[in-house]
This record gives sequence, C-alpha cells and structure tokens, in this order.
Amino acid sequence: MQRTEKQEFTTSRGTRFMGISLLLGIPTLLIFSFLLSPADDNMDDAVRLIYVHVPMAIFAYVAIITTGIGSVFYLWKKSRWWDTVAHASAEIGLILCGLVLVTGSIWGRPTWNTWWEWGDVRLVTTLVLFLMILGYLALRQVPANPDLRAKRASVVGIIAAVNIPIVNRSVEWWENNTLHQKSSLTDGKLENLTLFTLFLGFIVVGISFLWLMTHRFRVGWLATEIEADGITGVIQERLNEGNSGGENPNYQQKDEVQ
Amino acid sequence: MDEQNIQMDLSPRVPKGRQTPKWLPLLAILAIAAAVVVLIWFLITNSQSFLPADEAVEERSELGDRRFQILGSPISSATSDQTVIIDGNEYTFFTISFDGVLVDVVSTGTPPDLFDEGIPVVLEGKWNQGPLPKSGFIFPNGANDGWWFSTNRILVKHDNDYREERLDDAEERGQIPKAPDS
Repeated sequence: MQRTEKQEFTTSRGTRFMGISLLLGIPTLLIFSFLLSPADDNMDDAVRLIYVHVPMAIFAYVAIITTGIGSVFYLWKKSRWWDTVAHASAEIGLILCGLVLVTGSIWGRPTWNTWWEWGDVRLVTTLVLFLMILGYLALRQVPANPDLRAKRASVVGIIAAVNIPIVNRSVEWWENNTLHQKSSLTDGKLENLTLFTLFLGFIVVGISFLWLMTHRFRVGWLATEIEADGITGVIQERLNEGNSGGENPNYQQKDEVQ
Repeated sequence: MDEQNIQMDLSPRVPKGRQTPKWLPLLAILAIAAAVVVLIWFLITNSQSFLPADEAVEERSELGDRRFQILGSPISSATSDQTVIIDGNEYTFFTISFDGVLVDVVSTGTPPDLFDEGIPVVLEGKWNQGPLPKSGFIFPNGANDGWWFSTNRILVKHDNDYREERLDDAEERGQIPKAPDS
C-alpha cells in the first residue's frame, strides 16, 4: 500500500541536531543570563529578562511574517504546502507573542511601575497582533472545505503580518505614547557580556523556533495528506482492516517502515 | 473483489463525536471582533500623549485642571525629608525637569523603585496653584513659582541604554547629570 511507505514521524537528523543544540544552548543561556552577565545600574536584575523577551519578540515577528508569506503564496499558487507553512508558523507565532506579552508585563512591573498600560501603543498593538493570530487559528477550525478554509485564513494571515511594522515601529512613530524604550540593539546601547548574552538568546530562541517549526510543519503536512486522501483513503483503510483480519494496519505500517 | 473483502463489515461506522466543537466558530469571530474593537477603542481614546514638562508649563492656562500625563526627569532622588505624612496620607515632594524647565510635583504615595534623578518619569495628574499640602515647603532647587503638579501615579520611562558609561536621557539633553553615587 502506498501510504505505508510514507514517513509517519516528524524526527530527522536535522531536528535531532537542533534538539541536542537546545539541550546545550538553554543551560548555557541560563548561566550567562543569571551568573555571568552584569546587573544594570538602574534596573538591577530585572534587565536579565532582555535575554528572552527581545529574542522572543523578534522570532514572533519572524513567525507571523512567515505566516503572511505563506498566506500570499497560498493565494497565488494554491499550494497546500504554503498553507501548511503558514498554519505551522502561526501556532508558534501565537506562543511567542503570548510569551512576549507575559515577560513584558513581568518586566514592566518593577521597571515602569505598572503591569499593563491600556494607552501604550507598543503594548496594545502587540495585543492586537496576538488576537489576530488567535483569530487566524480559530478560523482554521471553522468547518469548511480545505480550500475555502485556507483562503479565509490567508486573508487574516496577511492582515496580521501587515501589523508587524506597526508594532515594531510604534516606539519610534509614537514616542510620547509609550513607556516602551526604543531598540537598544540598533541604537548600539548594549555592550560586552550583555550584548553577547542577548545574541546567545537569539541563537537559542532561533533554534527553538526552527525545531518547533519543522516538527509542526511535518505534523501539519501529514494531516493535510490524510485530509487530501479523503473518502478514498478511508475506504482503502477499511479494506486494509478487512484484509488484515481486523488488526490495526497502522502497527503493520510501522513495522514496514522500520 | 476477493471472497475475504466480500465478507468484511462495510456498515457505516458510528461517529465518535463532533471533531470540531460548536464553540470554535464563535471563538474565531469573537477573537477577530475583539482585535478590531480593541484597535478602534485604542485609537479613539489614545489621543492623549505624554506632555513634556516644558510644553506643559507653556500650555498651563489651556490645560486648566484637566488630568494629563507629564514627562520629565527628577532633578534629585526622593530623600526622606521630601516625604511627609499629613492627616495619615503620604506625600512626596520633588521637582522634574525637561529641557531646563522645572516643574514642582506633589505625589501621593511612595515613588517606585526605579525613581531616581535623571531617569524620566511619566506622572498622571493635574496642575494646581496655591498652598501646598505642607505649608511653607520649599522645593530644593525647584521652580517654587506657586504652581505645582499633583499626581497619584508615577510611571518610569526607562531609556534603552544598558552600557556602563551610560548617558541619562536628562544628561543627553544637557541637563543636570546623574550623580555617580545616586
């Protein structure tokens, strides 16, 4: 049977390498963040949140821009591959965006003296971005044929991606409407171990993103294939059940793959 | 078809349950609607931005007793002699500055941890003229012009400089530099 020859797991040499890199990278980042990098003159230890908050924010942008690109290419090429990329990336983008809001809020309390400010452009535009991605993912669960569902989701995915420059530039465009600082990285306001640890944070969060993205894409692609098989696949599966005397053919498939 | 396939049970399977919960479409609509509502509400209500202290002084008559947010840097950290208890309420007296223009401030409550000279703050409150809660108080190096800003909320607008040899925002504007030991 054709489906038995397909890969039905998401691990590969690449993902194993990324996983091992993370096992080494995360403790290294923690050591640099908490022990080796200096506390800030003004913020004291609260500055250490920069090593996860900023990389997660940047990779949330990357994830949602990837969703936007996947959505554009889906609408252009009608390719399930691009739709799966957009979907996988949106899920990771939602997690990262949520973590950015949480770590930002935790950082804001000792630094700004507030957990949240409703009048703050950076905070509110980030929340809107989070809600858009939440809406994108919820929309994908609305019952519809796969093409219609992908088309609807692509429109929301593109709108969410358009929001990224607004979120990112908000601290420059509305300087007097936000407590949020401007970019320290592009302004050259970081140095020595603080700068190094931040780059380490970028590497660790970047590998985490790629690792999650690869696995989620592969799961999504398998789901897409099953969905694309449709009724033909279901009938074939029942026929296999009959031929195998009621045994679950999936076990047999695993044996064949191995 | 062979004999084995003819004998197999082809009766329809009993569905195990709905794969898509009923509430998911509603959640999708609610999430997108919430995003739009928050954005519109934000754009409508966020017309007020921080007013730098020098502009707040210039526009004092237009502002009247309207509540607004003022931006400036404390010219000194709050010391114990600037905090007094009057009728059971704690008041802190300090002065902020922006581009050389001074504004005297009376705050209810204790300033936040990061409150320090040279670190910009955003204060939410309004202009007042006349006697201070503590009569006869003189703001050290302050404006002392009879006007004072009353606030019950101090937010810190930290800069983006994490270098050891940093320049405070106030210092970059040519104002009083932060004392090394403060």
